Amino acid sequence: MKNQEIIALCKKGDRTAQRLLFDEYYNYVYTICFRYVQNHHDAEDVVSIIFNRIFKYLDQLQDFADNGIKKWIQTISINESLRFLKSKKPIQLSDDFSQFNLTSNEKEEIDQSEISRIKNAVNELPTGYRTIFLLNVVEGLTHAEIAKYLGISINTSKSQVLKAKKYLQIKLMPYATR
Amino acid sequence: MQQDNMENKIKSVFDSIDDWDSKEAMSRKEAIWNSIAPDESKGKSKPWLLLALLGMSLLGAGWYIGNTNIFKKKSPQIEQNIKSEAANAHLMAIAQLESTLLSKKQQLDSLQKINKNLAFELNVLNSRMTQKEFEQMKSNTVYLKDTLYITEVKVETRIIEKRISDTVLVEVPILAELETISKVVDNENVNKPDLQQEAVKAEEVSKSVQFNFTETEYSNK
Repeated sequence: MKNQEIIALCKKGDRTAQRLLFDEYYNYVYTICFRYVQNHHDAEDVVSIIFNRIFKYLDQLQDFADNGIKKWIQTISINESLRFLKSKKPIQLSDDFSQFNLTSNEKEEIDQSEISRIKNAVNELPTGYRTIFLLNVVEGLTHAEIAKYLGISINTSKSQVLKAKKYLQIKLMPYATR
Repeated sequence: MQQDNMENKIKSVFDSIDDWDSKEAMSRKEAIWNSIAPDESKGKSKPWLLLALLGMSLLGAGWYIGNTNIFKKKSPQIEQNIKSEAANAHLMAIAQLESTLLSKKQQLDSLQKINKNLAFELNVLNSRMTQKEFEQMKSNTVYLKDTLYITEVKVETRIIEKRISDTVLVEVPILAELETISKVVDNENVNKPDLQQEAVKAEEVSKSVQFNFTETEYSNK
């Protein structure tokens, strides 16, 4: 069945078609959501909201190609995840570089695998830096798009990403030569 | 680590979730699907239920009014009042349910907040704890043992009667035998009596005193 047919049936409220779409994009949506909310309990709630919105606003979808659907679902997923984060605690953006823990304790991290080291370094970033960095590097959004999502200026987005990258470089540099 | 290389690695790390998280995601899949499935039966049953309740309450009110002879005098104003009262009762019930739901949601929110904080603290601890420290922490764990008496121990003294033997045998020597033995002992040095004869004599001595009164003997006397 083609995407267009599945979506047409979904719009009519066909549960089988909706299940097909759900199965197809569940992992993708969950991964995006979990990246921002960072716990499964909240992710469950937010993914549920995301799929409700997907089925509700399917009329707005215009590009029925795989990439088009994926991009549209990604937008909804990011929007809802960020909305959830804001509802819990306003995302604080700071220019104060001193709040980073720049001391790289080699002894402390010597036994960690590279993946967990990278994860820990990114997760140690304050929520604002972390969110903007992930939106830019992982989701591949432009600073203009990030600014639109978070209601900040493009320059703020740029400076936050720059500082986050600098911090991660300092944190992860000692292991680059190994 | 080159800048681009580092970004690519970070992208690949965050583009997917690890096995444990993936399993967790799959375990929640059906629950999520059920939560997004529009339950049509529920949606339809609610207005019907409300209408049925409203209708029943109106019937009840009508029956009450009829029985109390107000029915005939019923004005449109009274009818409207009855309807609005029933509707008010339902609205109040709905408002009460909504307030309960709100408080439950608030409780859930606070629990989630605590959970998130704890998860964050655990993450920080995990990230900072090296294997060595972890081993040290494990080795530093001291298990304390103690005895805990839940109730006070009572010591009771009990006297239990027990029969040791069924039959008690008490040997009482017969008086005549005792006399014979004493005689024997006394005359032992003078002349040694024939013990066998003595024993025969002792047997001849009656062990009980028996008086035989016969009529003949009595008349002879």
